[in-house]
Amino acid sequence: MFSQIIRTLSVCASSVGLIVIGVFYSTLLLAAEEVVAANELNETDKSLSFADYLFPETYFLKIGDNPLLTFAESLLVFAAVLLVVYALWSLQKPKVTTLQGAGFKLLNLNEKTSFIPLKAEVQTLEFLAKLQTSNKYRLSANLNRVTLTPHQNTFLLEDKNYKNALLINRRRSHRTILCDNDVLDVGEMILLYCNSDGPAGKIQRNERMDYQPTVSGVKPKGPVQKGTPILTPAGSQQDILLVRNMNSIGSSNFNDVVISSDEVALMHAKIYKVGQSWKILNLLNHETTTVNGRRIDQRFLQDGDEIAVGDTLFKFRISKVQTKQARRPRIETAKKSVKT
Amino acid sequence: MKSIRTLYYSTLGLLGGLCSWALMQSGFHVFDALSASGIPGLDIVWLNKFIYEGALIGLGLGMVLQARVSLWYHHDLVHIMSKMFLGAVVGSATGLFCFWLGHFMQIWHISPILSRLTSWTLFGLFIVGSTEILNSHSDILWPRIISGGIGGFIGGEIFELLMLYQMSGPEHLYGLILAGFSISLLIGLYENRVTSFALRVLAGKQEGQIFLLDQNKFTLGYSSQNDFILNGYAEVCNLHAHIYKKDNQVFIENTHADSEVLVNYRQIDLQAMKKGDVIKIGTAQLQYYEI
Repeated sequence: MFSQIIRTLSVCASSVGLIVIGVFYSTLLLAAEEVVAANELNETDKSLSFADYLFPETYFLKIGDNPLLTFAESLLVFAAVLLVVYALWSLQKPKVTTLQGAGFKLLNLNEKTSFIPLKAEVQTLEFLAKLQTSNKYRLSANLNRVTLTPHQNTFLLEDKNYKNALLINRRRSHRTILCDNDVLDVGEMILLYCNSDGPAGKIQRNERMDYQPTVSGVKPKGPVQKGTPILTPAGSQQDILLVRNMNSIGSSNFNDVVISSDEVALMHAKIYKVGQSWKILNLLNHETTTVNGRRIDQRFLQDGDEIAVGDTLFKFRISKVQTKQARRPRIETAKKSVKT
Repeated sequence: MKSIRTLYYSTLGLLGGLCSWALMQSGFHVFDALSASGIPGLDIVWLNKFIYEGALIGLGLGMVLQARVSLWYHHDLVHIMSKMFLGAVVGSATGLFCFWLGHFMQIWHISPILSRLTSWTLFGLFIVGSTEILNSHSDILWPRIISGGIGGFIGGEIFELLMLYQMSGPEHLYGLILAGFSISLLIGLYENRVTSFALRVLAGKQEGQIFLLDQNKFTLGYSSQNDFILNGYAEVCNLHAHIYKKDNQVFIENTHADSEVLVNYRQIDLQAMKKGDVIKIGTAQLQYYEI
């Protein structure tokens, strides 16, 4: 509020300044007029005082002497306008829908189907394929292998076939209890799970909001050549340089890039050099590695590709300049290991 | 959604015109009563010289135009009233100034039509400019201010034409309404052209509300000072996040060390957003999409 007051004051001050300039200018003009009058070149302009210039006599809009409305009527019109503004304001009130039971909402753009209720009996996600939608969405063919089981007023979602491109809250997961407002990505469909039943709100998955898979890589010992690939985990500024020709990725400490996450296998994938280009290889059949959103087995990588190993997202870049990395003193690390 | 907003804004402009017309009618009565009251120094001659019409037009239009964004996003009433009050004060000052300037121009024997057009144009420029200065946390957007000026010019043109053909209705009602309409329509059209991204609130108290990204910089948070207000959600800070456009990309930035902004359920400090991203701020979930 304080800043707004300051802004108001500054606006007022600037407008006052403009008016002062105008007045000053008008006095200059007055002098000119006097000269004109003295020379008797202009006879029409006579005896115009300073105030006449500031507030000329003519009405700007020339409202008649008998206005249409009386004072009370005009106030009534004013109040009516305010009432209409109030009506417009209340028109903009967000419409909150209170829904009974559990169900999905389709979040894709330009979709009219608002709510898909879920029945209590055991079912699969196959019904999504039969849904009437305005756009066609690509879905996995194995959706009948994704089951929904009732579980304390809500549902347990199980992916029996790991090849479904199924993300819950933008993470891969094989078994989850669905909570209110979970976002599901099934193929190209984006679904929001809604559950208004009271007790269901109490089932809380252990909060994974602050859960952040930690990623660490091999530190280069010296300057890095041009053309070295860099992996950048999503949402962080940390760069991981792939200094070797064959870099393994996984949750085990033996890897070059270590990701500590439940959804990443011990030896998950590797990125290796083929000629002048780089290739990524998924090492385990039942785990997923995706490049630009597509599940892949092996693929050549380009600059700017997005790689997902398990639930961890990376951006793949190839460094275009030679970087000088300070040599990491080994003594320090040795000391640390002694202390521990 | 965009065209609905344009319609909404132009309706508000119409109402502003009507409001200023009603105020002008009452203003005449007030000045009449003041001159009849016999207060020394307040005689009809002096009062008639005063351009109260300009001030009252500014009051009516400024009141509505200043609050247009808050009305559109359904902010709380107290906030809107303060916005309206501020708009009324600033609008009447700018109206007084602009229309006085139009008078002042007649010293140079410029035709009254031209000077009136100039003052309408200036009025459009100033009234949008003042909302820009008072309203947004963004850098001042000159194109929007200029669109207000163009709106004022077109409104003034319509006004003059109606006056010329003596169709401006009882006490210039139609002319005033159309002038207000054209100012707000032009602003709405400019904002439509710029808007190509939006944020939609997915669930909770503000479910279904759509934040249209029509400036270069936005603030998002709980307090009423923000451009986008998330009211009724837990764990939302007063100023939670900045959203800004840069090189055709939209970035979201966490403002506090204490607060958390999650894009696709990953905590971020600064990230470019993609179509379909889910942003979580406190307990509120927003979806980012292109229109």
